[in-house]
Amino acid sequence: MKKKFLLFFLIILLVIVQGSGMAVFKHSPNLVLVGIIAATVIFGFANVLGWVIVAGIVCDLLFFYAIGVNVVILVFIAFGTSFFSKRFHMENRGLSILSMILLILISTVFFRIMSGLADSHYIFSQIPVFLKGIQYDIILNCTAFFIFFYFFRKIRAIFYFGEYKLKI
Amino acid sequence: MKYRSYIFSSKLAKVIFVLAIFELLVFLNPYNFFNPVRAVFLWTITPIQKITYNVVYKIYAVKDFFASVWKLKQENSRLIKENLELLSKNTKLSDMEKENIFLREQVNLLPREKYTLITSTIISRDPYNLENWVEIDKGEKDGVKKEMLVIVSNGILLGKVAETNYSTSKIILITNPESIINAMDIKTDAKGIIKGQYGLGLMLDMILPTETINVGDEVISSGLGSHVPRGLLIGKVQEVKMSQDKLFQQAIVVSPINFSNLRQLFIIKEFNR
Repeated sequence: MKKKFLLFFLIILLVIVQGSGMAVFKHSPNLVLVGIIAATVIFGFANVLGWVIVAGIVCDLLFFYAIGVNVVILVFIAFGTSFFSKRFHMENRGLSILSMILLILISTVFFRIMSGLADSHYIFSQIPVFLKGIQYDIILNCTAFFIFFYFFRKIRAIFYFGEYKLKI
Repeated sequence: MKYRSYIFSSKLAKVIFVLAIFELLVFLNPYNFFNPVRAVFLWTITPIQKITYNVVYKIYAVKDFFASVWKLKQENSRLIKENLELLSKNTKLSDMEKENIFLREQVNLLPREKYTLITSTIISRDPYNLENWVEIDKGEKDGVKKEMLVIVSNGILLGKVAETNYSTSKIILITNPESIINAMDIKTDAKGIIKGQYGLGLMLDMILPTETINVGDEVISSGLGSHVPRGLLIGKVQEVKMSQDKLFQQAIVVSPINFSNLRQLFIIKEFNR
């Protein structure tokens, strides 16, 4: 129970840092997005689904979206990540770095387009505007992803007592 | 039976179930179904948002300071030169000030002291850098109401209140396409509508082809509409072109506000017409 409260508080903190902290900078990593991707790769989709929903609802509440918009986008990305990581064995070294970068690239573009569309009441002609400066965000997201990835791996090593098998 | 239970317990089924539920919620939301939940949530976390924004803003300011150190020497010599020019201009302007007061009365422009302002601090902003909205630490309890205008310290229009909660409010910036404000060219009186373009700037649209609008002219709010006082600066005209259907003129307007450096802003509570 304590662990769950701590995790809930951490998610809220992450979303607050995204909206009140990172947004000050012209380009910033999408911490919620990369956090969810890294968590899905490390802990498996089934273990993170509940927390993805919580994070999505918190994002919707805080960023003035209709409740459900961020949940739908994030669940979709988490599912895609799980599908992708299962097939490309992302935890193994070698091809993993390249596939992770590709995953971040696709997710960042998808997230930007979907959240932009939801924000603009689905005006599809505005898609190029939503992708303005996305190259910087991809670089920042990749950096943040690797930080999250190694952080979550350490966490798993502590809480799962050395159980390294992925639950996908 | 086994097959059916496999389908319902599979990952894909879970995803479809979750997506269906939340898509339904998205459709319920236009009726402001979840606004009370949002209000309570925002009220709870406002203190953390304030602290986070202040801390990060300070870090940003320090980063900005170090980034600009190398420019300071160059800037200093430019400012000395500019200062001398301004001194001579100042003498002329003090004479023009009297004339200006008279003219403002004649054209019914609003002197700044006629506003009743609510000072507020930004606690959160559009996280995806589209410069669509900011959230402030003042809400219904401070007298903030929907549609009130928001300016920065020197009377430049920033946006308007879109949503109010008990202790916070959402401000849509003039760069947001949802923000539409009646505006005019201060020199030629050409009237139009200012629309946002997703952080790409502003467009003064619907200007009649018979009206004159020049690059470099200042654009102000025209005072048409009950919530907007006349005379708030919006920006300068950068480019003039015809609309695609050739029925109206359009002007690209650049706001003097640096949206990423915003911290404090003022809500116009009341103004005298």
